[in-house]
Amino acid sequence: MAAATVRPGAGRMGGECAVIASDRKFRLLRARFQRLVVRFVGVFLGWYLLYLGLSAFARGFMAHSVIGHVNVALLLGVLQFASTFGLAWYYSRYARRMLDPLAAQIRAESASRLGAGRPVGPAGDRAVAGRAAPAGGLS
Amino acid sequence: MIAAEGRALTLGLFVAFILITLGITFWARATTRGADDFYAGGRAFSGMQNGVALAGDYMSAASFLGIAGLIALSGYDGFLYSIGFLVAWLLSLLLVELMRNAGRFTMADVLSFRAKRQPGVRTASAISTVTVSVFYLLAQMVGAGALVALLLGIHPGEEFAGVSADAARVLTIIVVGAVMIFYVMFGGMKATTWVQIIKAVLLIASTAVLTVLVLSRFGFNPSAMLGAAAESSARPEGFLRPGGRYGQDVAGDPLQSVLNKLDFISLGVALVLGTAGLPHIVGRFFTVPDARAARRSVNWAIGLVGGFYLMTLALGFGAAALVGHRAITEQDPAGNTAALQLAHALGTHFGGDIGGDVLLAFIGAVAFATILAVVSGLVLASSTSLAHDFFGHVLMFGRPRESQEVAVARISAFCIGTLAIGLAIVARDINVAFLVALAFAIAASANLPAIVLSLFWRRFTSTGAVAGIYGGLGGSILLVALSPVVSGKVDPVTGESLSLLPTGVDFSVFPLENPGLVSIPFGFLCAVLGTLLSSERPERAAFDELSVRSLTGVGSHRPPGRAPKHQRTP
Repeated sequence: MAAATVRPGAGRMGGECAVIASDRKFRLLRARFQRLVVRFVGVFLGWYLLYLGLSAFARGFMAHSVIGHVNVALLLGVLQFASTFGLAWYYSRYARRMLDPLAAQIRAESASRLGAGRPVGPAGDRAVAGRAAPAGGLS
Repeated sequence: MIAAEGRALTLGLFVAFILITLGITFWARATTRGADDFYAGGRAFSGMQNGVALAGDYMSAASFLGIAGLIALSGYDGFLYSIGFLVAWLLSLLLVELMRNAGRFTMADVLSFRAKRQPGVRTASAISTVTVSVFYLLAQMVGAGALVALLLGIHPGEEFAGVSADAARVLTIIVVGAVMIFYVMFGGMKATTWVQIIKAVLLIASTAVLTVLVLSRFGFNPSAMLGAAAESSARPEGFLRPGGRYGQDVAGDPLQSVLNKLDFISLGVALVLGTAGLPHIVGRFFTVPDARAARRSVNWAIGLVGGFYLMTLALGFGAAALVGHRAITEQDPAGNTAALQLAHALGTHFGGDIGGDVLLAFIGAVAFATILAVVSGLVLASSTSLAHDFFGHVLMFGRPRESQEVAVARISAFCIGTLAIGLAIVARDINVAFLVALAFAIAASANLPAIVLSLFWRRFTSTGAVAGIYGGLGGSILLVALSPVVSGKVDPVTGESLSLLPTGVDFSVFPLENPGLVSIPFGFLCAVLGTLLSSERPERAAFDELSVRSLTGVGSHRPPGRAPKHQRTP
């Protein structure tokens, strides 16, 4: 159970991680995730700040009645709830379709690379510092 | 406010809750062996279980009683809190998988991943974790003391069972503190999680019952409820609009009006950015087997927290409509009893006097359970950080014996719990509600910049992380110390001090009560400058490793017995 005894800090899986980091699949995964983060944060933070700004500076607008006693302020507030649910759903769907399969592939490839070579431990990591997979390990 | 039988019922239900949870604690004690069990519940909770527990950790008594009271008295502005508290979870959703994959037990595990200077980063995040937790803890415990006196209906000068109001408050703080210490010391994360799950289910179920009862009084027509609430409020005109409490317009003083509005925006920003940096929330990211379960748990939390805060609308406006402004302020000027009074009114309407007593007793016991669960989560988070980060990685250079570290965590839980009891007793007459907003502001200013830059900025260094944490922490505390919260705010009508310090003392040079608008950018600035100005060279290989691990889950900490093949020990 090396997983639990290895403590966080750089360099234990450095060799293998460097291999993965230069993998085309990993770059695609990272690019997709970063684009998602930028879009996601832009949308939810922008929309929330807009709502805060309207609540502070556009109170006449917020007081307009929509239906009965329900005014724009209440409607926008409830819409913040709806958009939060919607964005969480969108993020999870995107991650399930576009990120999870890639990550699973990368993990599987890494496992087969390491499994075919030698078991990984702190000593093994130092041995593969030169990035390349151990010569004798992969047939 | 409660008849004698009602008091007995409240106490009885509360004692039942304590007995059940103590039973769980004994079970958890028997099954807790190593650090993975104590800090992370063996990483064996399912996404749903952990999501319910996350919601339980998050929905404090402040949000149950406080927001309902705020809506009941100030109308729309109480709702602003609910929105900020919920939207904040989207940021956690983005960060949860990365942190689950990269870390082991604490925020510092993620921050120190790339750090050359491990001890510096560990110490800084332990200090910030304990500060945030203790502030939040203090607010909850002082609130518990005040709540019990109100619940049992002991007014100052009166006695109940030979106990005066003040003694009852001190006694409550000690009992709550002792039970909380017991949960954490003996049951660790397993016991704390089950306490959260039970409490969250009780809280959401009882809120749902109250919501249905309230709406049924208005023929399930929300507009009719809103109209009735506005009519029986103190100011029917603006009750349903923003501006009743936050960002008020001051006639003839445009500068103060703008400052008030900036203060309001500052609060809103801190609420949204603080959640992802709250230590007791972050600690819960590590209790599930993998990143997908972590994502699922945040999705569950979003659903539950969102549903809960939507229902607080019905509680708040329902209390305004059915209990009325005057009856609420007579009981408690801050409105914290509004939800309880609403329960009593609804119970009486549907089930006569007995119905009123029963419903009130039940909701009161749920409020106690809520306080107890939230404070336990906070004590666990800070003792985990003290033991794992400070003791394990600073004092023992990252090589403590596991049993030793867990023993230190238990002792830390005892010490922090005792400290919190002591501070809460000293501060029991002070209005410490501002500490909740301050805890969020510190989490957003000190923890968030370090977390975000660690995960996303290639050039970031440990000097930057340390500078960001201390800058954000020191900045937000200093700004609050120099704000009207501490000195210089005077009630224009009565001339009484509205600040912590008495009238006459005034060193408030910073005009906003919420520091977030300044301290969050300041925290980021310190982190960036610390990185750029120091001579420390970034560990780029470590950044590659961190991004590989955080995005793919390669090498992440798995529950015992579920380690993937390639992580076998040689």
